[in-house]
Amino acid sequence: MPLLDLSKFTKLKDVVFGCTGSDIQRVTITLQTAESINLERITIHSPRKPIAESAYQEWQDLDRLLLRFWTSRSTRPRIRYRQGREVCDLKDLVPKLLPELASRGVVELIEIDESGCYVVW
Amino acid sequence: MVAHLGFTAPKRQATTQSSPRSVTTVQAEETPPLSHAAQGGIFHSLDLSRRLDIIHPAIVQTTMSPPLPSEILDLIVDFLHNERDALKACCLVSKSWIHRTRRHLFVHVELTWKSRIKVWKEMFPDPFSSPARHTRCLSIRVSQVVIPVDTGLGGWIRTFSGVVRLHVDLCGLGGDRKISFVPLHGLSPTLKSLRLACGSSTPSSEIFGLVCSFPLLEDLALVSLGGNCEIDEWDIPSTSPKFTGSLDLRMVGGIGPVVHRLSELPSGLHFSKISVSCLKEDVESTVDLMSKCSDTLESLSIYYYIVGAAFSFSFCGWPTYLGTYLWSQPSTTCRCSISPSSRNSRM
Repeated sequence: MPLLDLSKFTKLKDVVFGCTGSDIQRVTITLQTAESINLERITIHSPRKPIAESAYQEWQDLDRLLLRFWTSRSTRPRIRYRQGREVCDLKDLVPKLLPELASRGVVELIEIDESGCYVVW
Repeated sequence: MVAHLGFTAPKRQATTQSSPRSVTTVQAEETPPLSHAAQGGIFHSLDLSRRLDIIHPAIVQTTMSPPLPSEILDLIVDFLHNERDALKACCLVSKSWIHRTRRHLFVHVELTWKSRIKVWKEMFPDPFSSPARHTRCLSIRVSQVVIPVDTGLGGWIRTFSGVVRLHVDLCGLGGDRKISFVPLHGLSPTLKSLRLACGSSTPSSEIFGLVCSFPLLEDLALVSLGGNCEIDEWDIPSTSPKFTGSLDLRMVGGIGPVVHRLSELPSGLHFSKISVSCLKEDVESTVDLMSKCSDTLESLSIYYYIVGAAFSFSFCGWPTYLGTYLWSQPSTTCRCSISPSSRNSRM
């Protein structure tokens, strides 16, 4: 499967990944190609399923990458979650998934607003 | 000149030469008490309304001169743009208030069922006085019903000529029924945002024929519940919108055919924001699409589908139509629904 190469997009300010936990490696690889110095926000949807043990390592790779973005370009990492369902779990989950960022208090939790729609199919 | 006139016979001459308002103002200062005026014989030749003007200047002050300038009243109504009930009340205050309140009451109109369309037609039979010209956001839901009904009623939907955002929805009943979008072509020359939710059987030529009929279009959202969008023969237009806004693609059957059509447009793609909900097989098309906007792209959102998985995503204020869907509206718009019970209200 081809990967997205973000290196050409020099004006990119905002990137959002809506994915399941199993895609997190793809997110990391894609973000590694991002070279835009204008990148202000990286938003990732919170995983909807329990995360397998093997996936924690992938999240920590992402954690290190996001930390690098934060320290070098002040790119703000954000986790988006669905209203009213995952809030409690998420506060416990984020320090496990993104320990470096969570310890610095950098991660911003974003609730999907009322204009968003929740799709189950 | 009027101020020099006394309360004598030449005064009548003055009323014919000066504006009624100025005369009334002066008389308010000089008019003797009512009993004295009523005894004077000079009023016998005046008509009743003129006599009342002279006798009751205070009343004239309140009925002829508005207590506030119209600009201030307009400003007050504008402040109420999100208060639908207040706007309805304002509509009933005075005819002079109707125009301004309609600008807000009808800023967002939804055309849904056949009965509602007929109610609109009955309420506003004259397209020139119709509030359709105030509408900036028009939602045509169940379009496969609405568009034929409109055609049968003489194509009055084209009175919505000032629409900036158009939402055409073929989802719902009979979503797979083929329909022509020709009645909507060039509906509003100022249209900047188009959202089209259609079934799998809608030919791409119909979709892009509609898209290319709006030269100033900036934002485009295409949603499809069904399979692949049907690629059919079409004549590539000589001009196309520049697309400098956002692109939102949510195609359950894959975005490939749509990307193929978009890449054929002569003016190219200059989207600053792309949101793609796609299958993993669509990554190649996504890359292709993004590469066409590499100079302008500032915001990218990618959502992957996995059949059978539970998903959630925000949609920038627009509704979504995938699987089980909920309807939501941008909070800044004032929705307008016409129901039979509202026929007697003055709006």
